[in-house]
Amino acid sequence: MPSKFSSLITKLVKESTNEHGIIDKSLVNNVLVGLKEINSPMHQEILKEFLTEITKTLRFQLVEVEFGSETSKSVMTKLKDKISATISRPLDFKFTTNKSLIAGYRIKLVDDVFEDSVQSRLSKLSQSFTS
Amino acid sequence: MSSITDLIRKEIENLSTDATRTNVGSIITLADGVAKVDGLSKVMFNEMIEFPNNVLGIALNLEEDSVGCVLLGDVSSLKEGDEARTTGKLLSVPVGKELLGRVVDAVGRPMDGKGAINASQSLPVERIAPGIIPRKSVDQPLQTGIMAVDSMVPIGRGQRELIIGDRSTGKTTIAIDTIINQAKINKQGEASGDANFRPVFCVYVAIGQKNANVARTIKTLEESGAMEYVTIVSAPAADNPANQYLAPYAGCAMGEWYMENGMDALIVYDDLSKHAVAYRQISLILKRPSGREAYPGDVFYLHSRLLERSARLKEDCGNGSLTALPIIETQMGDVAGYIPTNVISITDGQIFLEGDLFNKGIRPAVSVGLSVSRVGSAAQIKAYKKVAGKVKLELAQFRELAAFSQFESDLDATTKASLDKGARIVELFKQTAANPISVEVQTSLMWAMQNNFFDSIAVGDVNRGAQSLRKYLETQGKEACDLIYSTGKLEENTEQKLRSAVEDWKRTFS
Repeated sequence: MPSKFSSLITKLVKESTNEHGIIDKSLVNNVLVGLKEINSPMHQEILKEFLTEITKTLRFQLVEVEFGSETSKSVMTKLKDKISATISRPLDFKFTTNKSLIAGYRIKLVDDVFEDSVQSRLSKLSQSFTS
Repeated sequence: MSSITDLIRKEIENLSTDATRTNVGSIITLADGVAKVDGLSKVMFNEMIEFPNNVLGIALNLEEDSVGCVLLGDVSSLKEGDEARTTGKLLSVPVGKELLGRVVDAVGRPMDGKGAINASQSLPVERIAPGIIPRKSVDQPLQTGIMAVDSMVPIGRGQRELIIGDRSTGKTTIAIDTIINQAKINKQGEASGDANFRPVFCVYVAIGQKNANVARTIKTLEESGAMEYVTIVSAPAADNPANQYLAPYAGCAMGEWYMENGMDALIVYDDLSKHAVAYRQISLILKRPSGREAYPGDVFYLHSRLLERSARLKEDCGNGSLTALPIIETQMGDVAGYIPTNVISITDGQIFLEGDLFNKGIRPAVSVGLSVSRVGSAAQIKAYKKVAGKVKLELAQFRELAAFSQFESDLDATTKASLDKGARIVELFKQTAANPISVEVQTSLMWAMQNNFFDSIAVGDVNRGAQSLRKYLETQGKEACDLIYSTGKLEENTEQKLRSAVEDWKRTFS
């Protein structure tokens, strides 16, 4: 059920995003300072809803990409372009190296994980022996 | 060695190398065997969830922003923030004859140290009960081997008969004796080589019981040679509530396999009171709204969906059956409690066991007035129906008259005769545990009682007499019993043979 502040929250979230539609930490800070200055009696409720919405938006924007080894910038850009072309919403990419993958990649998008790594193949093999 | 290498090579060759897509979440809270997980947006209800260190869970609460999972196994290794993954599979258990003679846990893993179970099939634990079309009326008897039950509250294949009573009144004994009798009948039937013989396979589900009690039950079944027809599903009191909640459904799936493959099976749920308590515990931890006695609102559905899975199927649906003997423990004989009334209304009758009768030495302590079988004589062979038709009424009259006669010193002849007959029937029905009586011998004993052969024996000696007659009928007087067994009827010539056998026995009995 939409809350009584829903249109205000939408506007505040919009104020917190940069030109690429990504949540920007400094812009969020600006909104928080503004909210504090107004000092409305509804301050706490608005703040709670705003932070919940920001967290939700951040979760939907974040794409965590893990590689098993150091990867070149060109591969990262190609991957970024390919994912952005598939998903029609602003995305914030975070690239890291996870040596436990041994080789391959792991992409986490909200609560979906796409994975092809040596670690996952070994785990599958171990499961096929034990099941 | 080379075979192991080949196996590894084969597994590697068959291994899928495609990228995988999984739906994940992370543990927000973890308490009392229940994890609240953030994420898992594509999870199905009752889906198996994989946690680190091979811990499995089941998604039971699908909320707007989280998923409530009950955890199976050792949860001590899990912590907040751990990843949870969907598996795309509903919780399934192994099924088939490979499980006979085995003791398994709520998810079908062996607990008896007899090695892996090589079952080729599995079935989901939660399944929809057979509908109206494939069902058929119950018309084939399921002999318990207990005279008091088979004569007054006959059970049919596919029926749900509740065993209810206070603690230590012999509820489990009735269920175990029934299993032992099935094994006895199965062995007899298999030895006869009768192509039409239908064995009854058994599943015993122990819920929230002490491990010592389960061990005792296994020992009894092994000693009586019944274990080869039985699968025991154990979720003892020390097990987590999730396993106790799942055990009956897992056992039911194992029993359903026999039914769906045209065989007959019997399942004992020992007991559903503890099952309801385990479910209440899970529901409270999952923060589901609680109702009467803190049970959740769907506690009726918990048992109705389980017991509805027992049925007798039509010939064109395989002609299989699954008979259920749920057990309920009452407090101070109160059958009007919440869970007892629920289960009474779901089942097709109940065997009520009275503590007072038990303490008086009347065992099995079946209460005539409160016990009923809604299938009735449809589940009795003709011969037994003929001799036991009036016994329930006679015994009920006896109990009523016995209560009044305490205040009367001078009784009329009819009342005296009724009391006398009732007291003899009570003695005849006394039976020790793990000592089932075949239906043909039961019929013969009842016939002897109805034809006044026990009248000249003192009431206190009737049980001894009955045991002596039983031995005689199983040896010298076997011909009459064999006729009843083969025809299922008590025809004139059978009755003549029976009369002469009983008269012969009477001459030797002192």
